[in-house]
Amino acid sequence: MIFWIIAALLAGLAGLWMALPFLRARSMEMSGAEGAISIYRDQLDEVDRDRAAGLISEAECEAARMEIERRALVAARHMDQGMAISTRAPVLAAGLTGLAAALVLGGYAWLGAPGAADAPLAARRAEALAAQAAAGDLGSRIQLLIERSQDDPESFETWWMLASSYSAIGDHASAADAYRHAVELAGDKPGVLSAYAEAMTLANGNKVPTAALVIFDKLAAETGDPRARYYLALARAQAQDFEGALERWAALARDSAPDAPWMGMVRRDIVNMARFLKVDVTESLPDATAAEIAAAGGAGAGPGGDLAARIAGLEVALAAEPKDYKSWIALAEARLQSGDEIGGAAALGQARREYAAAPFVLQKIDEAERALGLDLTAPAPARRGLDAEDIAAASALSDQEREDMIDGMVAGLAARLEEQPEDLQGWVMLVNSYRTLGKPSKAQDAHRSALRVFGGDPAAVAALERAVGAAP
Amino acid sequence: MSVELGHFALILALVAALIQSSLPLWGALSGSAAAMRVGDRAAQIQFLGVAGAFAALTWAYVVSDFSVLSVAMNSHSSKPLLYKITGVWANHEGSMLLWVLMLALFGLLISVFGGVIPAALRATTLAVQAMVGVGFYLFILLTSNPFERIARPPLDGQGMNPLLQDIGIALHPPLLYMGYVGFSTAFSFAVAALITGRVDPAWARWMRPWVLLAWSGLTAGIALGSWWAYYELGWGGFWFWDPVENASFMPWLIGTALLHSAIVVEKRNALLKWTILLAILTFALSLIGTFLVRSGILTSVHAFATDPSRGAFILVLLSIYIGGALCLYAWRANAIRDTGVFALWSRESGLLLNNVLLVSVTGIVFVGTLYPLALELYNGAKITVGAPYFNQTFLPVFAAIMLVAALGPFLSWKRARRADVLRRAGWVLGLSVAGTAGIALGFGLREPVGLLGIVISLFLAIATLADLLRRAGVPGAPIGTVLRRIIGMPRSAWGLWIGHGGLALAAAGVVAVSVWSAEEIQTVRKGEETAVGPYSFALIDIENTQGPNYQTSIAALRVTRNGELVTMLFPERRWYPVEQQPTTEAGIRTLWHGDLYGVLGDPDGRGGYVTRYYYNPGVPWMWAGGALITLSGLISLTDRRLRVGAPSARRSRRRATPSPVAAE
Repeated sequence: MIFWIIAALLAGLAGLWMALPFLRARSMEMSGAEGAISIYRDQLDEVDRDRAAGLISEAECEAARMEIERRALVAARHMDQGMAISTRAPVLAAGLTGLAAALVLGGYAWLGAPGAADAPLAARRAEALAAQAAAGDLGSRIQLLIERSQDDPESFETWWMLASSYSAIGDHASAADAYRHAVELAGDKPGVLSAYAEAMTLANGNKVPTAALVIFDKLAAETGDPRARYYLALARAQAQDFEGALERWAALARDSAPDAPWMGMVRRDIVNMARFLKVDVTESLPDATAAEIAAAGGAGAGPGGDLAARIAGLEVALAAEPKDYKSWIALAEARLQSGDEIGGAAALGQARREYAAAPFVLQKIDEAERALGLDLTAPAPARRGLDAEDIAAASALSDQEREDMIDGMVAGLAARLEEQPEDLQGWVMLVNSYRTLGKPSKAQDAHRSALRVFGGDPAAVAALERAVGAAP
Repeated sequence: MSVELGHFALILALVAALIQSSLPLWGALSGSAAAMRVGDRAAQIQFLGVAGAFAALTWAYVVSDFSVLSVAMNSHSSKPLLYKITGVWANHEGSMLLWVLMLALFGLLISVFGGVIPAALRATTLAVQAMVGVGFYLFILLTSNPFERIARPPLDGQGMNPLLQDIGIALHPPLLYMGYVGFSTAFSFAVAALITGRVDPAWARWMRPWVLLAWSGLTAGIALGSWWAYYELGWGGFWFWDPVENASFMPWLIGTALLHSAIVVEKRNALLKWTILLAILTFALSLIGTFLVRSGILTSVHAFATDPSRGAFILVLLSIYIGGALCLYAWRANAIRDTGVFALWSRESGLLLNNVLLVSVTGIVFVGTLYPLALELYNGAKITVGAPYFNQTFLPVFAAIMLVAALGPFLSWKRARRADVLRRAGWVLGLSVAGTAGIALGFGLREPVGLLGIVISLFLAIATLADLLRRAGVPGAPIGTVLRRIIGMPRSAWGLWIGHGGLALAAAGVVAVSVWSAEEIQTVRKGEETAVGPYSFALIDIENTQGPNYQTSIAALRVTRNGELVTMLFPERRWYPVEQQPTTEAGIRTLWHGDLYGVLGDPDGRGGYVTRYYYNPGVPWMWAGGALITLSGLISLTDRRLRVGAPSARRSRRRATPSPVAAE
């Protein structure tokens, strides 16, 4: 309706604007020849100018003047003719306005889609998100659920789905927050409580916080919830009560169906703990597989031939190329299997130093540490980068360590040049550094990039070639 | 609601055009002042309506409103904003809306700046302009409605040809349309002159600014299109005598003739009928150009998804406008009398000769473009008329045009002194032959055709410079006077010199690149060097990498001359997986005398790559010449005498006695 009001208003105004001349008391137009006369005046000026510049002779000038004046006279004679006059014509004006408005509105009614709303993509976000969420995109699903929770904050269902979506993408802090809402709405439902406590634990870097501990205690006592029991055991281990932890995990394993979803994690922790405590894993886990027994360092076997060879192979490979975190994790795992607890932790520590500036890799290393159970037994804080201690230690660097430091500096230079490529000296330094570090392929890449930046500037290309040699 | 309001506004524009095409005409014929004034107001409403429609459609593209069919078919939510906006006219429906927007804009400008034009002529001109508009509004609303809606809008659009996602090609249509549509103003003035029976120097002066504006836009549009083809298509060429290119070139050629004949009308009250006919033919060729591109007769990058009913509709419009105007011409032209007489040796004759030659080359291009189509219609034979035809027919006549353009300014109006003109021409010829000989010896050039082309270009350049100096009083006048005169020259005179100078520069560029370009096509491996003219191209490296929405191979080419590094080139070969379409990005380095140009082709599967290397001398001159020619039109447009300098009818009415004193 509002559309039709606007449309009718516009059509009427437009019609009125066009019909307005008919409402004037008196209109007059002269078919003026003044325009023509001003042109002749310009032409006379030009003739004078040409004469002054000596481009035409006096006789030519006179002839031209005569001709132009003759034309001007003819034009002036036309001036009196053709005067157009009209008087007010209200009926005509009303008719014109009405006709125009009727034609516009009728034409639109025939061709248009009255009432069809705009559908800009931004307003269709919900629709777009739903389509993406249906296609399995968790980010869209979370966006959608956030909006839904804002619309209806009393819906347990929404908070619950939102929390589990957050868990699925590993954002445990947000998950814990969403679970808290779900807990408030659901009361003391055990499943919700334990999911909340678990999210708190994961958000706390897998260390069971006191608040979660209280919940787990209550749940374990009241319902025997397996998740609560698992985390209670973990809390034991984190409090250095390794025997207590092993005992509880063993009890949980006994009480659970062998194909329960949590069994993989429980068995892994039992194996790790048995290895650490140097006890027979089959006592806690009677159905332990051969691989598990081996991993727990059981059956009194020393490092097998295979294992020793594997460790040696990895060590050689890593000495050649230390930037390979997967091999470092494999080395840690192999050393643990051979019973070398300290060596395993050292391998991960070394990997951390290699990747001090790569959060993604550090996270992978943290995950590996957790999977291998090293976080239980070596509660030292994870190293995430250079701190005061490192700087103090830098004065006593070994060759290897110094090289690592250079490595880091070169990586920083490369990153900076990516952002600000207009730096010829920087590129020269980068190419030379890669060569010094014995990385010819990287040096070649850097050389290419520099050429692309400075290709249009022969002087810069020449300078580059003087500094680092001809193109790759 | 904005989409529907846009649709509504477009219909409002149609109705305004209907009123504008009828009432003012009746007013002019019956002497009703009020009815004539309706023309101005209707032109304003028409423009507001179509501008509102265009704004609504642009908004729909910007916010990706896929409930509009045109947006869903031609846009994509992930396109950069710039290409969302240019995407409005990168398709048939939107570009037609742009067409009528330009048309309404020119109508509005006539009503706003046309105060000096007598009421009857202005009203009639606006009416004719609106008649053209009505036809195209109906065409848009009935066959190509950009506001068509979809009941179930998709979540994303179908995207846009990656070749067109480029700023050069994005600005090409608006400029081209400014030309095409601007010529409709000349057409309207011509038809109005036939209706009112009034053609005089003033008429020519009122028409000329619109022709200049249209012609400048068309020049820039053609140059941009050619530039885009040069760097994006990767063929090393800039003009292919493609029918779509010809469709824009024909109105340019004949529009150039119109521009010059209108000068004769204004200065000498001669060539009146001829000028009117040229105005009609210029717009006719613009319409034919539109028809060729839109009808689906031609296939090229420009041919948008086509539909025979659209072609038929435009053909009907074409017949009505052109046929109607020509009939009117046949009926009324005899009433028009030339009063200016001129001798055989005069500026008028020079301009007439230039006109005849320009119309001849237009005819040559017309035949070359339409003959294959006609033949296919007649017996189904498919032939192509390409460069050989045009080189043998177009170029000699165009060379004659350049000679006439050089000599024209030497001729004085009405009666020129033949001996003077011949003497000056002799001097200029001598200088240009000497200059060419110097160039030929200095660079060791032998090709007679190329040297002839250089002589002609130099002839035009030197003659233009000589004319400038002569008008400034060289030789003879003291240096201070000369400088003062040069600064004080009318802008239209500067238009002449800059335009002719630009033509000479562009022609020299075309000759140089056509005759002396060096091209090598070969399969090379990394490290191999290829000699291209005086340069040596070496393929150093190929790198495969990823762009934002394409995969690409980038070659590094090292260009040396006598062992000295000149530059590095980085041509690319891209593949757009979504559109399933490859594009080439030529590596170009522009030096003052020419371009170094490298293109990377397909790998041969055995470690080699097909590469094309060019040294294109003169290409930068060509673009600079095109820019100068465009500029010349704009500079002429700013001439004091074309501005609204004369008193308007209304202002003089307030005075006690009408006086012929013009305000300056």
